Amino acid sequence: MTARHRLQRHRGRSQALAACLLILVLFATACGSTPAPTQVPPQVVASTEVAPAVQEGTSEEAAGFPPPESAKIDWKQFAGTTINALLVTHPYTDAFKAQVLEFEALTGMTVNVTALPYMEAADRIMTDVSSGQGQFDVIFSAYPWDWQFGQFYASLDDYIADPTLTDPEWYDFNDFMPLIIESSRWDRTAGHAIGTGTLVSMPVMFETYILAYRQDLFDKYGVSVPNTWDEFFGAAQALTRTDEGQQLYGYIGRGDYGLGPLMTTLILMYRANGLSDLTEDLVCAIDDPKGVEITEKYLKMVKEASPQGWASVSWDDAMHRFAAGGYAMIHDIDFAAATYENPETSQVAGKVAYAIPPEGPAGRFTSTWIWGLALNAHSKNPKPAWLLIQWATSKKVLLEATLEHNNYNPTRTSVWNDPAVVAVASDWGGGTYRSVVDETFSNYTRLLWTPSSQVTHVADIWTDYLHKAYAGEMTTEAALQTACDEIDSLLIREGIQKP
Amino acid sequence: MPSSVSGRFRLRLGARSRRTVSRLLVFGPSATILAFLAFPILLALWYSLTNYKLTNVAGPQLIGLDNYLYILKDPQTLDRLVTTLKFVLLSLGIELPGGFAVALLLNRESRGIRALRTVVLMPMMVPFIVAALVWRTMMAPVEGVLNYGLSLVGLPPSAWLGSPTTALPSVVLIDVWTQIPFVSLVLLAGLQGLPREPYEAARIDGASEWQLFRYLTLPLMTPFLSLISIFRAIETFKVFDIIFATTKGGPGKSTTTLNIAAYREGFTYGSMGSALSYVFLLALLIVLVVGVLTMLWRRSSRLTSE
Repeated sequence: MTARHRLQRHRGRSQALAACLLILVLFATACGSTPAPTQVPPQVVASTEVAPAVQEGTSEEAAGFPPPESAKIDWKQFAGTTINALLVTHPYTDAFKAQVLEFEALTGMTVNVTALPYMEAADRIMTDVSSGQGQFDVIFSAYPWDWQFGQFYASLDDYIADPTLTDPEWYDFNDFMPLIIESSRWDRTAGHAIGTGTLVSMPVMFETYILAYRQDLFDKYGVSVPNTWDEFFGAAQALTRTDEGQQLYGYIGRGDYGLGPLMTTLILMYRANGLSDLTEDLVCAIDDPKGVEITEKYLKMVKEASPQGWASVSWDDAMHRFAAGGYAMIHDIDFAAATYENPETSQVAGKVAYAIPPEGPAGRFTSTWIWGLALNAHSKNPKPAWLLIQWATSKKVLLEATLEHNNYNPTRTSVWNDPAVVAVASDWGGGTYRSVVDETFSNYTRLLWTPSSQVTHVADIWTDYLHKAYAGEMTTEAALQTACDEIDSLLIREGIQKP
Repeated sequence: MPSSVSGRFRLRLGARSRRTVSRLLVFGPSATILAFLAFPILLALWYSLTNYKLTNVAGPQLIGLDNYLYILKDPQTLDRLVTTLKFVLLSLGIELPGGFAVALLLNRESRGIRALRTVVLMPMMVPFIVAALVWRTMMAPVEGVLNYGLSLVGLPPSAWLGSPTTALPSVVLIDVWTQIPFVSLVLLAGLQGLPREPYEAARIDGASEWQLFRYLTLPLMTPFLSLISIFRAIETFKVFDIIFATTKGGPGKSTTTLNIAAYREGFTYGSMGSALSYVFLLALLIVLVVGVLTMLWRRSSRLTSE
């Protein structure tokens, strides 16, 4: 064998060895690169005393609400347990993260909080609940997300009725606003109304959608506050002009895909004209000729009285832009007032006023979004998790979340009517905020969607086609009709609509 | 029979057993990786033949090719395919010539150029998601710095990610920005490996720079161009993170590629069986396209090595 031949064989062998090593290294790094979970390992809190079942209130009482220590249950019965909570990035979540340390001290439990943005949270909830692994015990739930996820949440009535877990007098279940509790109950049969069925979440916060407008601009240009949707479109046009050299837009609002743009404006307009998203037989109804007319007016406003790029405006984009100035009206979440009225976050503090939603021929309607805490049915620690939910939704804790962490609007009548809360809310908008929210929530807020597990998907399709009409790719009529075709075929596929 | 490796490591083996040992050493890790890949792929394939839904507690039931047939009959599928192809062609159409131009520029020897190499490689060091989020902020229609820049030169603002007509080009722009460094790096490696003699000979014969490029550089670089096309084609066909971090498939589905559609079907709506069918159809498409490109690459490699 020649030396060259030997060299080639040698090279061949070491090449093979090198290749193996490379594969092994790549394999190892691929495995090793999975990030370790960032959860803090559970710590067992050393408790040297057995907590008595009843403790007289020793901590200061805020506004007369009894503190958790006064509840006739043993808070420390699950000391040492670790539970995991999944929340959505939201002002309430900031409150929750701050307050949960008190809960840990009270109970000797450890709570790991994960907060994700809205869409990512929805996907994460989907994967967790469907896997049945119960990775998260407490989940931030919402009307109407619960229509899809509710089947995976535990029924809370049982926990509320259990005397070892809940002190009914201290917890005072009837203190929660009835419409809100109603929204949490559904028997999960498509087409059946909300209000009866299992209770799957304890609400912490509700929002309703009202009109926030720049009083100063309306006064300056002599435009009257709109009372009907047609006046609304007119006011938006009238206030789109140059104002002291700057471009002023009459309207700013959400446009990104999903429930957002619809539940703050469009479905309100539909209902105010006697239309709905689905018929009683759960057939798509958004392409009704009157609906097409309304949608055309809406899109015209969005194109002419609002800057371009509407289709990517999210709820916080809209809120922050209104607060930065340059827009005359926004019809969106009521509690954005906390941002608008704060000189640190807003250029328009003191210039904003609030009004009830505009009406149409069929009445005045607005929608709501309710966030709450739900218990994962597959949780391995349901009872400790219930303690957390009970504690977080109790009077004193909810009041603190509202006063100290801006959790508006609280879902308990006693908290909403608490003098300190009334004082803050009455300050906003020259006194208009609180009275408007009170009036709206008592009279005009309704659960406007037809209940079904596919409500999010339906909204996605609807807004997708709105975007196409907005871009001029399709006429409004064609867009809504095609949307209906797609929605109907979806509902049939899902067994919700009869073919 | 000669045996043993030089140095301290002495293996007394016959040639055949050495071959066997070599093969086993390679086989071991490859088999493990294959098992880790094969199992999920086969499971996914099985699920794609069922009506597996995350929210359905009843569990998946076999429905055969129904998912695939539904997708092939669905008018949206063509839209999504067209969107995917638009993304691929726009991205490749800019990245390949652009990356090539950058590589040609970097191939010159000078101190300034060497410094430029570091700068050009910087976008590669930024994670995709971070790049996408920062670009999204820059592309904000009213407050974004890009529209501000346009206004300074007297151009009207663009809706960037906010309108169905401009969203896809905007996402392509982000992809191009993150990927041109990689493309230029691979092509630069190719350029630096080119033989000098043909160039010297051509110059002596009086060839212009353009002729050198067209008749020497371009043909000699074809294997590298095909190779980088294969890499980029695979990546752009299955693009996900850039779109997900910016538009999530909107507005109006204008950036919904097949992969994004699969994600939404599976994770947002819970229809895993359907989502996996999308994935397999996409995979089939990629295999076909890459197959064609690979044939071109092999053919061009053979031609240039002659």
